Amino acid sequence: MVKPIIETHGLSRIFHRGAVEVPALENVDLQVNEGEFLCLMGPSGSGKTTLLNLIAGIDQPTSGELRVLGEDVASMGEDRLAAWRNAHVGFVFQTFNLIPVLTAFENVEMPLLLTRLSASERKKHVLVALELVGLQDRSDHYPRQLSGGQEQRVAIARAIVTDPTLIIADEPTGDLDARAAEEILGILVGLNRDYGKTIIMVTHDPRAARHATVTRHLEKGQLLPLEEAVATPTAGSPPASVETEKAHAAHI
Amino acid sequence: MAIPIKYNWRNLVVRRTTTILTAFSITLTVAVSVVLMALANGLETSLSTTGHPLNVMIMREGSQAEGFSSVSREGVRIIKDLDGIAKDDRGEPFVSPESIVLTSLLREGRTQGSNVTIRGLGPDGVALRPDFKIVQGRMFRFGLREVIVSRRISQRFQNCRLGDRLKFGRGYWNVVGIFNAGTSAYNSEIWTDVEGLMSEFRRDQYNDVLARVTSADAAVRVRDQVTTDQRLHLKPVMERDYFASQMQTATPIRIFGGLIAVLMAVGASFAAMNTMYAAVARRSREMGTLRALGFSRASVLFSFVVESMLIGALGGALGCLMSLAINGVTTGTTNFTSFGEMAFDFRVSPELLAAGMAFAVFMGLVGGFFPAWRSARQSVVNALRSS
Amino acid sequence: MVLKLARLLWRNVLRNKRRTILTVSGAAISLFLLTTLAMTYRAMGTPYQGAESMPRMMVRRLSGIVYSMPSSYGPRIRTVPGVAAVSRMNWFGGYWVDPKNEFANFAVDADTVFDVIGEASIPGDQLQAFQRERNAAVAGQRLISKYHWKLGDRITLLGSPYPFKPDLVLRGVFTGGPDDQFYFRFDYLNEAMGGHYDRVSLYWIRLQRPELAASVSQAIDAMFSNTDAETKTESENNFLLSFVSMLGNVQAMLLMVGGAVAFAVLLIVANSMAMSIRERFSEAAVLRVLGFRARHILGLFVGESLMLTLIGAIFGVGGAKLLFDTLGLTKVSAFVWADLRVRPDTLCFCLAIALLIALLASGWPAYRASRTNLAEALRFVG
Repeated sequence: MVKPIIETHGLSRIFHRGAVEVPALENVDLQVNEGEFLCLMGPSGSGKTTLLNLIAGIDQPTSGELRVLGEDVASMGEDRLAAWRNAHVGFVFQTFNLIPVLTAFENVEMPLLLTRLSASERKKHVLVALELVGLQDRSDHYPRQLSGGQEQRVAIARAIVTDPTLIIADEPTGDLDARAAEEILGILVGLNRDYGKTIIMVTHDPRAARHATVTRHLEKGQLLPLEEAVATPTAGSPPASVETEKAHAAHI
Repeated sequence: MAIPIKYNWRNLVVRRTTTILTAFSITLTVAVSVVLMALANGLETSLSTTGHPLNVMIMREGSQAEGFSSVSREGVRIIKDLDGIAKDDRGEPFVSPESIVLTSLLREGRTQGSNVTIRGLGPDGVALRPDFKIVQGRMFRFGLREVIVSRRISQRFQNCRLGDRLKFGRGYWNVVGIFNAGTSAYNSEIWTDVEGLMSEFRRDQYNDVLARVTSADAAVRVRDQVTTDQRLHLKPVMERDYFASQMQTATPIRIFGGLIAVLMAVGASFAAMNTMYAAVARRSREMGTLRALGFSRASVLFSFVVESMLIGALGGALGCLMSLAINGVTTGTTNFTSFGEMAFDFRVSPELLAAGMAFAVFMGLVGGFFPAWRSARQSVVNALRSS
Repeated sequence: MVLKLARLLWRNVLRNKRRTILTVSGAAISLFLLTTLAMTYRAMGTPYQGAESMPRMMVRRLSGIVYSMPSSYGPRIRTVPGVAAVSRMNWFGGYWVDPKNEFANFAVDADTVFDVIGEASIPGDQLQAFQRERNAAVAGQRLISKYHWKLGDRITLLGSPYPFKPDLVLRGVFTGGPDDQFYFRFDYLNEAMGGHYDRVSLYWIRLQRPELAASVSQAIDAMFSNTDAETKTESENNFLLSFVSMLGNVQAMLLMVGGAVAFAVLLIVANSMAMSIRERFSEAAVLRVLGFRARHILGLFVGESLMLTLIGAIFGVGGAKLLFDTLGLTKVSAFVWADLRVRPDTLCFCLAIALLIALLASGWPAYRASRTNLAEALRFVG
């Protein structure tokens, strides 16, 4: 039984830059089911980040419906949203965004400070998260002592430490070299496949898109239908059919 | 080849908040320093120009101040006949026997009195003071309980305006004129005729005699005659020297002002240093680029120091402007030798303003030097690599 | 929550050590200056703490303190109802050995002066010596400690406006009361001035009860109102204040400079915080994404500002208190004497100002960082 984690109907977001109205997102109807690994692609300015922000409750839509994990996110107050995000959403950024004055352990611990767990309980969760990303030996290192790939792994650990259902990743491999990028994507795939986390990832990189279960495209604020995605040779495709794999390989 | 100053200026404008906060720290330091020094200036000036070079003040020997001196009528007669005493336009000896009384008057808006000097002058008294000028009303007439008040006193004290009735001694006196006496000590006094004052306070001795001598040599002759005359027990002092010795030095104020200036300057320099360290760190890559393009280390150092000095100049200009508001404002203190009130004006001189600006730019220099040094020392490669 | 975030707060304070040191030092120096000014302002208003409620008054010539009263006034003042004790008191104005060793020295009536003072204590035998011996002198404990005198020391006062140098022997030490003062005998002064010295600068009187001040002063001044030597009777505090007033508009000056200094501290801390907060704008956004509320962010930044300012205050305000308690200065300028130490209320005032400065310095940028639209703020993030 497929359960929708995210449902949007006619979702729109218009920004006001002075007197000008900029429609960042227009009429988006999207459904993301539990356990999916969704990849969002599109040129810059297409509204990918805006859509992510709306889903995560970081921004409010101008119109339309948005239900995430059964909640009407658009109508929640700021404090409730913060608490909701803390419990249900893990965020991974392109530039890692670890706090430089805290160790890897302390960075991962941050989201847990908002819960009622005791120090020893928090410690358990943090170590589990760090083990999952393979960095338990570096828990007392500061971000400046870690490589880019390691930093992002700590960031992922931070994103999963509260055991959220939904993980949102905005260009997670954008600042990494090819090898580190592969590592990160591998971890994300593992989280999706082995732990059933629903992942929404925004990326430019078609190779990254290959790891997703569903790929959607955005263009000028509009979500393109699934069919068009298959037809375009440059698009990343769901790793299901062999034909598309061949076509993809042929293009490269 | 120096980095254009336009570049520094633009950076200051872009980082408006921190520029303003830093510059204003310097503004406050400069404004406070200038105001305190203006106070010291005013105090010193008020006593520095008292006296005609050929006026001699004759007091009882052993007296520290006019107020504690006494000269008998007989003494006055002898003085008038001394060789070397000049003659006034009527051919009479150019002398004025004088009497000093301190009376407690109320300042405007106060309930505590201050001691004001009331001086009784002889008929030649006014003529002996070349800076004297009536600015309102007229001169007092002798024997009629009339007084004239110096402008500063009339501004600061109650019942001292033209037409007022002032109470001192045993009754009331009429204020018939307001006078100005240059920048001298006489500007804190109330004048009337000496005989009227003496009879009011039941005195039979004058306090001292002010006399004009014919020349510098004559002054020496007069001194010799006075000191050798056994009947007199008097001593002569050149009027200028007398007031110079009384001069309340403004040194304590200068020291106080200096300490405050230094402490505030340290704080302001630290603020400037903070700002410049942050600027240096933020523009590290830019500087690396400029160096790669061919600008020298020295030009980078110079550029940052100039930027910091610009902040100093901005702050200093505003501070000097603010301090101008105090120029000419009248205040007063007590001359603790005579215990009389001494009114004077704050004096913001051009030299003081220039010093204020230099001080401000110096604070900027100090604040900018170490951060600039740091920037210049960085290797081009590291600078380009920084984020 | 406060405790949980304390670690991050502390790390943030230490994050940029150079900036922290410059800010804390700048704040400390300025707060030291502010405390000094506040202390002086307070001392100008109430030269000696507790003086306002003292049941003591001064009688002087109405025309001014340079003029004197006859000795015959003393017994007459004593008869006024409400007067408990009277002593003549002439300012002597000498120094000991070096002109910089200046202190308040007076010629007084040995028989009555301690009755007038009231709250000072002096051992009975020492008081008797003072009352018996012509050249005896007594000094307050603070003076003894400052100059390391011992009982029996010969003290000579130099540099007085009076034309003689009294050669005195220290016979007593008193504690409590105006313990920075020095007294010798009026009859010694009288003899040195020729034996007929009838010029009394001040009469120091004690009231039976403080509430009698108004009636006693009126009665005394009325008693001498139609003579050649009219008097003015005022409380001891007002008398001291009249000297302060003679200095000029000192309090206004202190307020102006003090205000500027306080503002300067604000600018130093505000500048530092503005830079730090701007640099951590995106970090604040990330924390909010993780679920931290606006008030947590606000708390982190304002807390940092408080920490910086408070450390500066400990050194600055605390340093001033320590310095002036040690110096024990009593002279502000010629004739203006006051207890120049940092009083408890001044201490609290300065700390409160520091607190206020900390809040104002970070308030606006911290608010902005905690409340900006999160999506906007994240645009500056990756």
